Amino acid sequence: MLLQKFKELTKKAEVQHLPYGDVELFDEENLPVNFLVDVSKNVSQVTIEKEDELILISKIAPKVFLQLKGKKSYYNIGIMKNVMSKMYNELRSNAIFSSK
Amino acid sequence: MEALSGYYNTEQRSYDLSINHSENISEKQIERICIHIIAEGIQNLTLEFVDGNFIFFTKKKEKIRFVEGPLSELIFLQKKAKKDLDGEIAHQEIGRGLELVTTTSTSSDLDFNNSTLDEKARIQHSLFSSLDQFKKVFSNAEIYFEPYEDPGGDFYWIKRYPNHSLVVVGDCTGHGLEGALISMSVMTLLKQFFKSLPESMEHSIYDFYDQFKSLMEDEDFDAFDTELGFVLLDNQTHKMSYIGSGVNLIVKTSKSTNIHTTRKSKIVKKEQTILELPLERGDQLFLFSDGIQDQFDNMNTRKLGTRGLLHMLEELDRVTLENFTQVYDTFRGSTEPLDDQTLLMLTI
Repeated sequence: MLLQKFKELTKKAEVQHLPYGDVELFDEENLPVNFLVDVSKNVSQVTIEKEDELILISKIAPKVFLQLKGKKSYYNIGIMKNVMSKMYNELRSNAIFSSK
Repeated sequence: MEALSGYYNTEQRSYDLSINHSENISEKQIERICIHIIAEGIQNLTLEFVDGNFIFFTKKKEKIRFVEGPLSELIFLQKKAKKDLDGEIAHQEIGRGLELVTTTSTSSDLDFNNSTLDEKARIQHSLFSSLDQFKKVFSNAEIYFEPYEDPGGDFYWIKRYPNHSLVVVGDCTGHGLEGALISMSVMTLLKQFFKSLPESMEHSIYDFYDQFKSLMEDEDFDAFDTELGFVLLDNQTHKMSYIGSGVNLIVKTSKSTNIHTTRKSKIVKKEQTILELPLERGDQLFLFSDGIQDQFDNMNTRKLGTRGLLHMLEELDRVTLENFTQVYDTFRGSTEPLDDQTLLMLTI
């Protein structure tokens, strides 16, 4: 239920902060990259650079990961990390608010 | 700290591990990641760990180089790992990078590491003000300083008066030894010229240029020139005055980020107006040489430009050397700079 609510929040955040990209939430059972299964306990963030795409995956809660995807022609790693930190803060403040 | 370093041969599916101890990742896991990199067409991959370390993978042709280190050395080791793949540096340099981790680094070391400067560059750098001098006036001071060749033609300097501080960033014609000789002359002249607080910034700059011109003519250096950016700050009220001859200024406040440009031709004609702005604690100033805005992107097709730089700084909540370097390095990729590059970052 809470994950569903956060998925709606991430869609709103996508429009606001990453209009030319894609934002998705994943739990530990549905990780977007298979190698993360092995190392998910120790990892805090993964940055992937392809020829025309940047992917940033960040652990925002013990078993929840937030993934940002953006075209290199629109974004760079620094901007995406900045967007990630904004979304992380928004999600955390919503989580605190929701638990009250 | 022991850390993992080596490469994976994608054709033979074999490792060459020069350091094979990691707290965070096993050899089996490394192999799975390398296979994923090949299958997904990934160029670079960085794993950041909760213990403050990272492992960086970079693929080129049949090799995937990987290196582990602390996050404070991320950009340095990423650069080294990428260059190693190009065959430009020997493997020991990665080792040297890792060794830095084992020693205690001071904040000044991290601001600008000059341990690799050769003797010519050391002489020139000895004239530069240390960042500690800037930090006596500003709440923070950092610098992105990358000479095309060391020594270079860019320099930065601060003069403190009882209630004011004068900051100068200079960009002298040419680079390498030629640029360095000019910049040393300019710095020496600046130190003499601004011994006491100038009564009028405009007139002082005009006089300074007249003297510089006559000095260069006397020395047969008339083909050489310098672009400067001056910021005079009232240390009590935080009122700032800016004037320059081509070294531009970006001011980032809580409300907006704006660029202020100046031209050498206006100084020659004595028409350059002075900009005066009230600043508040936390506002940031960026004085930069044109080597920054002239940098081409990672495809070597598009220049950053002043607008691109403005946008880059605008997007970052609070600019630090670390997050700027990350954004800037991503923009330029492996495209070589064309000129000396200096970006002085000052926080009120």
